[in-house]
Amino acid sequence: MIDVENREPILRVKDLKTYFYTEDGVVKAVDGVSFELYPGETLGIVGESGSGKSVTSLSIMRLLDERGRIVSGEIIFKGKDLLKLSEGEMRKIRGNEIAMIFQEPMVALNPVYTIGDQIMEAIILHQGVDEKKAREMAIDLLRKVGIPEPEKRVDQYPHQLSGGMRQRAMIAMALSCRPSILIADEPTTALDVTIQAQILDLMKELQNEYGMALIMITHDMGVIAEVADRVAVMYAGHLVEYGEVHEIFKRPRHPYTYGLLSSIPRLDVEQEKLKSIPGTVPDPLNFPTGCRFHPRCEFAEERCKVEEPEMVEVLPNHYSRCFFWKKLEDLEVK
Amino acid sequence: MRQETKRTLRRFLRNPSSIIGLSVLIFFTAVATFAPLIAPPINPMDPSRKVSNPYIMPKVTWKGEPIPPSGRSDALKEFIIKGMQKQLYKAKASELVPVVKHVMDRARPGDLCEAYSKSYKIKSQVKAKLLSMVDELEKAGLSDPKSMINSYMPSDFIVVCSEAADMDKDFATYLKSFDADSMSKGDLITIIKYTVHYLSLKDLEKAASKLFGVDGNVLKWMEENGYIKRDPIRTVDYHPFGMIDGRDIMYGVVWGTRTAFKIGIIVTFFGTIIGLLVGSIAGYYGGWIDEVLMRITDVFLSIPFLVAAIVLTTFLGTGLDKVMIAMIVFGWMGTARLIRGNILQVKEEQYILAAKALGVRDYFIIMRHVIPNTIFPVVIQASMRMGSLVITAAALSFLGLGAPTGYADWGSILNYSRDWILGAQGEAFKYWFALAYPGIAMVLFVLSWNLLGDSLRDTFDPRLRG
Repeated sequence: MIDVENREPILRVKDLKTYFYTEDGVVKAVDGVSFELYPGETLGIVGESGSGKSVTSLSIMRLLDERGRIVSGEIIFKGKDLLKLSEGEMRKIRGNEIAMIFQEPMVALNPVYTIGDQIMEAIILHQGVDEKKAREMAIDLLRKVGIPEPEKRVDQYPHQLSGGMRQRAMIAMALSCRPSILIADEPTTALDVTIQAQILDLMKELQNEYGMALIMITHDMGVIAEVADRVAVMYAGHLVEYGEVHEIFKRPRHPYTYGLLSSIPRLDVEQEKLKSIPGTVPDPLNFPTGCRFHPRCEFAEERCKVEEPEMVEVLPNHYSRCFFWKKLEDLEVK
Repeated sequence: MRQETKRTLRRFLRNPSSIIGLSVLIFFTAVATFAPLIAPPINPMDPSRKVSNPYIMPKVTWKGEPIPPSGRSDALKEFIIKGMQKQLYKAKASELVPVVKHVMDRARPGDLCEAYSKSYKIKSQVKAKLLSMVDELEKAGLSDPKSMINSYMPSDFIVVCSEAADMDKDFATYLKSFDADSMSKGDLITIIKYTVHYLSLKDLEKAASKLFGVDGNVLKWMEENGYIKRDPIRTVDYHPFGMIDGRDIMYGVVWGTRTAFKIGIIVTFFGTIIGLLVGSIAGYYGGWIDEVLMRITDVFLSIPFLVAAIVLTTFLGTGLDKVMIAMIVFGWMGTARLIRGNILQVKEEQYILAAKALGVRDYFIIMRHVIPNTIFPVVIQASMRMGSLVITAAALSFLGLGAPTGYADWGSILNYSRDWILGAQGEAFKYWFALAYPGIAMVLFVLSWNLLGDSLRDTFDPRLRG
């Protein structure tokens, strides 16, 4: 267990607001998100599609498209605010200090280059070694991420590799400069289940070896349970619950988290029907007033429709954005 | 060689259309490269004078220009002989006598043998003379001269006769000593008809001036009086593709290959560069830049090309380079639209985002990731345009906007043949060669580029890649 109290966070996101200005209006994709990331730990960001988790990661990398704008907030990395850096300084951080891997290994690799070329691109870019050395390093990396016959694979094109292999190649690319933070945006979603487990194991293994911090973005509570040390649950651009993983799983203090956890199929408890959260994620152009979750919440009261709840520390180092978190405590007692 | 390169090459070479297209293009390239050997640029009027610009087809002229002593033009001779033939039958026998005297004086004795073989009266006289020389001929190494002299075949007689003329000076003098004044009109015509081919141009000109009774520039006179026409002629020996307007069509077709490549490569290159610049700036940066550039493109697209080219050439003047400028200025829009569409698509690809996440600069992202994924359709379109541009250039030449007069260009040759397309009265295909050879060259050129472009698309289309 990581001792959160006595360590300096490597990344601190404070009140991040990222809005998209579209023709239909302003989309508040990320609306006041704060969290910390400590060296060597894994933070899981979990939420449904459209909850703003990918936008959060792209905001950290400052890779939003032209319509997206970071309206306010701070992203402090190693004491520097990334939002205040010039584009050139930011480029030195991307890939070198903070790397990212993507959901679709099928399309995240350029089809016209060999995977070796693409790994070497990052190495040459940030480490300034010659091509021969870079190639050796690329082969080493491929071996490290568990690709068999790396000397042969290094000259193959993405279409010649399977999905799992491509994701491994992506990981090799992201790790090529030994970043201190790796952001993984749903790295296993597009893969089948057996490959998922292999990739997650690989990532954990490499995390220990390189000592890097990992931000794991996913909608899969199972993945969170497997890799995360701490969890941030996102809903409609807000962080709704934030705390250590065993805390959240054992004592969820937000109805949304509670709903997510109840909708995981369990083998140890007899269930007639799998529970689900009714309704869908609200339209980001038109969030409900008050608590954004209230239309779907089984514990909602009149107050939730009018007043917006704040993040409160419900337990030590465990935060929730709900007026009635106590109801969940009562539920547990029963 | 890399595995992927090998595989692509194999896929390309297995395609029949690529093989056909490529081999025709290689043929054209060879013709263009070896043009000076296939059709040497020689001044037909005077081989000793240099041709200043080989791209201007050398012309046989007869109007106003004196023929230098070294002049030798088979086509010009052909024109003069054709002009003389009409007059031969119209003229009185007494008018032909000076011509025959001149011809007999200037022609080599051996060459006279052919003419004499055609006249019964003269032939029998020469035969008798030859038979009296049989022994001498046999001694000189001719086998069985007697039977050859008596042979039914005129060619045998001609052989013995010219052999004898070569070795016996007296016999040669004898051949030249026939009295023209006492010949019948038929014999006079025969002698002229069968000997004029052997005369030098200078002597032929003299013969013509005697026939027409004209002093000075007889050629000019002949043309002015309708004896020489500029209609296309075809002499298989010297001008297998024929001649039009005094120019050799084969020369034009061969050197026109160079012109075709020149137009195709230059216009496609610059048109593609402009299109690439406009399209990629518009596509990559988007926003108002995109809006402005694409509206400019629309404006250019809305102007009919031929009208625009006509207007532009009135400003710039005619000429091949001006035509190429017009084709570049009004020919980049397709590429711009194509590249913009492709970039808009590729820009959204995750590997672009992934490259950005690795800290790659914009410039390298465009050069390494965007361009290689968008360039192939442009390359394919360019190779298809190479062919069609030659047709456009030919159309402009046909309208008289293109290459200057006499330029070795397929379209210009077709322009000359404009008056002969319908053939002569009752002979629809009389001047077929004037159209067929440059036309075939053009069709093959366009076809081969299209086949090549087609097979390039088959090879590189990502949807067909496994």
